[in-house]
Amino acid sequence: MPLYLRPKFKTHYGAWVSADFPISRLDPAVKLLLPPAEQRFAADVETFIRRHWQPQLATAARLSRWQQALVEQGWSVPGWPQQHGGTGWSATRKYLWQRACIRHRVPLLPDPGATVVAPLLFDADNSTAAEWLDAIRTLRSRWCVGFLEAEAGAEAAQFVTQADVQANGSLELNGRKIGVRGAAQADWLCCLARVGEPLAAPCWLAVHLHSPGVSRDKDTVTLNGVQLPAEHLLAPAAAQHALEVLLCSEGRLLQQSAWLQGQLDMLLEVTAGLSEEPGLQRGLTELGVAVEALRVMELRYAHAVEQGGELPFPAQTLALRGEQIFTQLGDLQMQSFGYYALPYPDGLLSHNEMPIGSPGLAEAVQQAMMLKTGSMYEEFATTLTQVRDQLADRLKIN
Amino acid sequence: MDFSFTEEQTLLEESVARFIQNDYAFDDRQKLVKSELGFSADNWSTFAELGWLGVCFAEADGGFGGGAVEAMLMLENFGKGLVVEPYLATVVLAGGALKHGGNAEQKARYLPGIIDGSTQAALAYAEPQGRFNLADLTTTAAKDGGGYVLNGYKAVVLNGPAADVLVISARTAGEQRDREGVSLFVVDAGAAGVSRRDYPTVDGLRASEVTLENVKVDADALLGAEGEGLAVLEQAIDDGILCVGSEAVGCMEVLYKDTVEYCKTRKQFGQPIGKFQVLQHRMVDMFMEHEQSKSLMYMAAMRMDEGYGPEAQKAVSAFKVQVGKSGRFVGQNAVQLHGGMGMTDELNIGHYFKRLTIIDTLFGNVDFHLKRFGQL
Repeated sequence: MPLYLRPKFKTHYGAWVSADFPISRLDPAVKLLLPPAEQRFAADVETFIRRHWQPQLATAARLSRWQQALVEQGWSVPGWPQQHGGTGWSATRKYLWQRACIRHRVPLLPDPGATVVAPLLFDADNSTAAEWLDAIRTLRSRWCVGFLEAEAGAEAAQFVTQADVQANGSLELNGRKIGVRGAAQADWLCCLARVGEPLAAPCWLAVHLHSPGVSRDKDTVTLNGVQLPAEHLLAPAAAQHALEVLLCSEGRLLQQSAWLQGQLDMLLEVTAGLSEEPGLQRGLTELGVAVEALRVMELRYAHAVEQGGELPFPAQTLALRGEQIFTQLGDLQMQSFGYYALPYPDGLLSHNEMPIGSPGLAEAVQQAMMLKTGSMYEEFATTLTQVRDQLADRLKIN
Repeated sequence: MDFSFTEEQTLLEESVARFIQNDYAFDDRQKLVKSELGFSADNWSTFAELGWLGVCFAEADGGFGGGAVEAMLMLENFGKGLVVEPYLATVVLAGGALKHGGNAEQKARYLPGIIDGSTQAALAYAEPQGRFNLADLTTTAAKDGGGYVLNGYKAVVLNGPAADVLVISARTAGEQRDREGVSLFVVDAGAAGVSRRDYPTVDGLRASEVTLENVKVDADALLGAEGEGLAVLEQAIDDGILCVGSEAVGCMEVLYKDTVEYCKTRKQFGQPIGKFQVLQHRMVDMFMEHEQSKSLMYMAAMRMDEGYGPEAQKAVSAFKVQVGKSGRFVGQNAVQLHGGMGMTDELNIGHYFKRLTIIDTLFGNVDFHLKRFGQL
């Protein structure tokens, strides 16, 4: 008769080692699964955040101190390869870091420079790329990403922004990008454009936003005869593929549930007294179950990545599910705002005037509206339909 | 974090999977469903010989010291084969109540028979008016000399027709829905005053309506302390939820894979229907529902093995909610994508659908567990 001796997974159930942070205050979903070395790391992360993230300070000072601490600690770009200044953390450690940051409501990344631009530069062999990387790592430059165009659909093939190659090898760029998040504050634009032939696959180009020929109006960037040195062509490879890679990057995928849980917790606080709207309460409970399922999916995925074994499912599964839950969250957030879902104040004026409703509400409404629509396209030039196509392909069901 | 299984768990899983694949063909299963007993006594003996009936009992009680993860692995594979043998009723529910609430004497009396396959058992906990509220009881157990007299009616007792032993919930004190005053009793199924009306269930199992009319039992039939049986019952039912949920995960995997295979071979308009984007997307969504359920299954099993309490209960309820919703989605779409064949008795698809539908209802549906999840 066979013997089955071990009743549990090969997990490590040791107590969380930290005098400062009682187990009850830490993330219950991951404390279940941490070996001792990871427990120590988690405690270090908690200590670091509590020491350097000071919510009582004004926004500018808080961010400035935090970013300085990150750079000094060498934790400003944890997702990067170690040879470029990354931390060399395992998937588990990156996951713990992200979850802790989100739980403390600490901004994870200052701009797309670290996530979109840097991976395009890692293989470049020139001093300009090295300078850009260093500026991103030390948080001295801010980037925004522009690929949406007014006339283009979901396919990059529709883009018309064009960079013509000059006789001396430099480039002249013409076009208009819309929906560029953070354009007003950024120093650089990472821009998708065709280079040379009008039908060539779009490539990424780096554009300094103070260059002659660049004009900005809120989230629209117009490029009119902008001159670029040849080395500003970042990645000749197909840009759409780069977006797919970004969409499915571990750094992005493995933080979805933590972010969602943070949003859900806030929503539960806000709606605690709304007993006359049972549908909303039910929706929140359903969202809680959905986030919990996503959390365990992330854990399973991270575990497989760390083990170097077969993935339990394609990365698109997390991307698609995350996006679906974001949409669900957006719906519930909009419901929770009641009448205060209506105001749409000018963002710049709001800095000088009292907020309408409670502080941060206008930003929350905008975020919820974006989530409701599914924000995937704006960030990745990809729709849920296309992600399902990719997943069907990976699963070989087509 | 580590989602790997131990070598022993992997061996167990492979052993059950091999049995389902080699010795539990769908046509054979259908013959068992139509047989008088409703399952195979030979299969039950095999389960005992392979040690499966004792996996989740403590070594001190003659078992192998397994836990929720082992149960999960076995039941997931049972789900793939739509196993009709009464593992859930005998081992998980009635056996679970004995494991969690029984004293040494009671365990020594009943568990060896369950583990060696000679005893069939059932947990009689539901009542017509109670729906999913385990404390809503009209069945009473009144003191009678040194023992008790049971009177009442128990509904949809799974494996009732084959059971030698019934574990029955009855009220020894309090009002109809009070949490206090619920007691559990182990009763011989053939005791005077116990009568049954047996019937098949929609999903191919057997159940009974059990009437208790002045059933006299000795004091040693009381399982655990008098009036404190609800906690034991809740734990056994949560064990049951993990098991039927795992079954559902196994069912969903089969439905997804069979549907993909069918869509690759069935042709319309000159090409396999799996070439149509709208059907591909449905199958993608079926896959996603299965993976979400599987993830919460792991979490529920780990929580249960960590120790039974609110965290485990919450994880179990989350799992049940997910399984209810995902099971409905996967089942309905598998039927839709198979067309008219999907609901015929000849094809396995409809039978998985029925099992998933019943699993949603068993031990509390989506609504019930959403509420529980939100309250915990």
